[in-house]
Amino acid sequence: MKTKSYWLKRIFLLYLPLVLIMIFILFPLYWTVRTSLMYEGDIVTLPIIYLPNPATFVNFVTAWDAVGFDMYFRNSLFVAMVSVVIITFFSIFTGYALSRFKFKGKNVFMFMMLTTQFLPAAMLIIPLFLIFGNMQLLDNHLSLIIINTTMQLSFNSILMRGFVSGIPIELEEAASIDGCSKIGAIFYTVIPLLLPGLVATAAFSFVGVWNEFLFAFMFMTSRTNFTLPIGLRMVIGEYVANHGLLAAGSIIALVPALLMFVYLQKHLVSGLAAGSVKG
Amino acid sequence: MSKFKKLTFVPFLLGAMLLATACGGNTPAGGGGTAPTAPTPPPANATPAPTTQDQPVMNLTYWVVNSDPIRLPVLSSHVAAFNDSQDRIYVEYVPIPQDDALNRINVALSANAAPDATDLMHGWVAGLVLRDALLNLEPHLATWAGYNEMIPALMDEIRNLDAAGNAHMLPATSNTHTIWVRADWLADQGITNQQSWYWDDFFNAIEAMTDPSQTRFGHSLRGGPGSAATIFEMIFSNSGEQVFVNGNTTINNPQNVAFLERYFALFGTHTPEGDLNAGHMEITANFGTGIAGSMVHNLGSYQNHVDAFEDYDMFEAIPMPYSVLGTRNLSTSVHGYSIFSGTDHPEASFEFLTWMVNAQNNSEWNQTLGQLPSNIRVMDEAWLNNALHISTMMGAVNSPNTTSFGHPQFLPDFASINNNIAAPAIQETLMGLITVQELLDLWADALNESLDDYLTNVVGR
Repeated sequence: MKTKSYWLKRIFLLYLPLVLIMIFILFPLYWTVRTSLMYEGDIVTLPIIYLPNPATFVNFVTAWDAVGFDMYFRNSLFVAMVSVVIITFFSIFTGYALSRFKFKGKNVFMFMMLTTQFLPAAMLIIPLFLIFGNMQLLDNHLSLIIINTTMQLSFNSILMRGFVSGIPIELEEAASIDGCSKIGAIFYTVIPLLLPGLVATAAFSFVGVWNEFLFAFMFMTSRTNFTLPIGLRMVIGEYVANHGLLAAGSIIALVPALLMFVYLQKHLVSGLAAGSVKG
Repeated sequence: MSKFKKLTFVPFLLGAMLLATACGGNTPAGGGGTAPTAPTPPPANATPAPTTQDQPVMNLTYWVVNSDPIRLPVLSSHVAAFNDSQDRIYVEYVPIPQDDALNRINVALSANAAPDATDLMHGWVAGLVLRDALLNLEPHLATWAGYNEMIPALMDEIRNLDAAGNAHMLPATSNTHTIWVRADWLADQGITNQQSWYWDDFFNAIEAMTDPSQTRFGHSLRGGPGSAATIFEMIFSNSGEQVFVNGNTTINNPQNVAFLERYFALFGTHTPEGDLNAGHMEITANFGTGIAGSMVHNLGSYQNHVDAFEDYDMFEAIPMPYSVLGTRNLSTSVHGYSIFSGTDHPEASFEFLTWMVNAQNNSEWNQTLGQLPSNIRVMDEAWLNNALHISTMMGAVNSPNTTSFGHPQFLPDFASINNNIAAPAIQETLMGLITVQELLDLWADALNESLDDYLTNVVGR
């Protein structure tokens, strides 16, 4: 039988901190949802209205149809999906090479990949602007896919290296004995076991690309090619911020990432745990 | 179901979203940026109308800095009407989020990829002129029949932004600092003379409106982003002096020190303590929610107050009070349209600018903003008299008893001084870490140094 002391410890050391942390994390989300469902006049008023009554979807309709979030959403989804596929594909092979092969300069290569993460993106804007301009890629989503892939690949390759290291090399050796080529062994033995790692990599890269603002803002020069983060910034005017519209836009921007994390969370948690302890 | 089969759901789901967004939207390609009640902007990537003559269509790109959902539909409808009226010029507009617009412009200039035209904020012009980024409009103005419709004072403000005295912008609207007060609270206190306040009356009213028992403060003080611009305006509005006299700023004169000490003494007692970090949205929220009875901003927050109160009798715009000299010492900020010097089509771009500031468009634009028009022909329109806050400010700005304190927007680093030197020091002063005298001395040193640099390196070059 559990003692009173056991339950007190359980409550104060486990449940209460969990509840407080949960409130701390979820309150901004609740506030955003609440704001998105209210008329503008009700948002900034006292006493504070905690539950929209009546609730309205007018902000979502306006954001989607009138402000152009449908277009921005479509662009963001396209850039993110293509980028994620490319990032994941290349990070498998980079991670594999870093994990399985010994070659001269491996540590220097790793170090250089890490240092790319320390470069402020703003520093790269003007050179990249000129390069993409010369390549006729300004106002083209391909420029975003290229730069997002480049910026995300280093981190995700290093992440993938940890996952590959966790797969016993004996499995590949067994596949080779059975007649598999090196590539075949990777596809038939390593990649299926890499599933949690793939999920973690895809999730990280998706969120990174989905939220990317600076490059999209600088390289896209027509509104038909803008992405969601730019659309969100445009809701804020010189002296006026339409809070309801901004909140509705944020929720729209949140949905794909939220759905993805809900669906992939099991793989994501196991993937992160697997990657965290492998050298 | 295998893990792989389960995972196929993810790209399927995302793909379905992509299809849904491709099929679901009923806005035209490139559409968007419209508020529900506003006119629908034209497609940004629509094919230009074929010319009726053999001349090729000139394509212009116009960056819209005023790109929020309220303003963009108005500007885009003006662009659409221009395109409809033309068979040789086609303007494509590109909305740019305002907070990041200057960075976007700077990058484009660095990469020699600036558009043809843009709208600009007052404070950005001097820096761009210094870099020769904007086209000198004087040759075009000399032959433009509509020049006489522009309010001369606004053209003077624009010319003051260039050491050579040339105009690089056509004015679209002007704004001036405004005190927003709770008219009902003042009436409860028996105060009715707010339109003719001196600064002493302002302080007295704040103290009268403060009611701790109801958690009411007489004022909301802007201590966060934008604080320096507000306080700068208040100081010279009170003193009645010019910012620079004989090459030195008067900002740290003893009477200004005393004035600011009195104003900062309100902090925490007659203002919310959270005002230390308050920008314009926060003070507007304090005012709109009944926490504060007054705030210093400009005409731009009018719509916020309408949304918050839904009762025009509860709030009122009053001009900055009379100075100790008995004058209203004000400044006016001018926003307008400019052409980048790298344009291949200066004549066509100027024609587009003149369209944007014609009486009809200027009237519609300023009704949307709730600000002061720049076209003389708009001045007689009925809506100006019906909009009490605008007519009040028009009366104050145009009064013979009003002087200009010579706002140093012509200093290319004026905004930088405000944001990086004055604003942090203002917060330190409010927290009691430095004195008002130290704050104003610091501010004065920066302004004097900036003026020296300007006179030596810009005017003297």
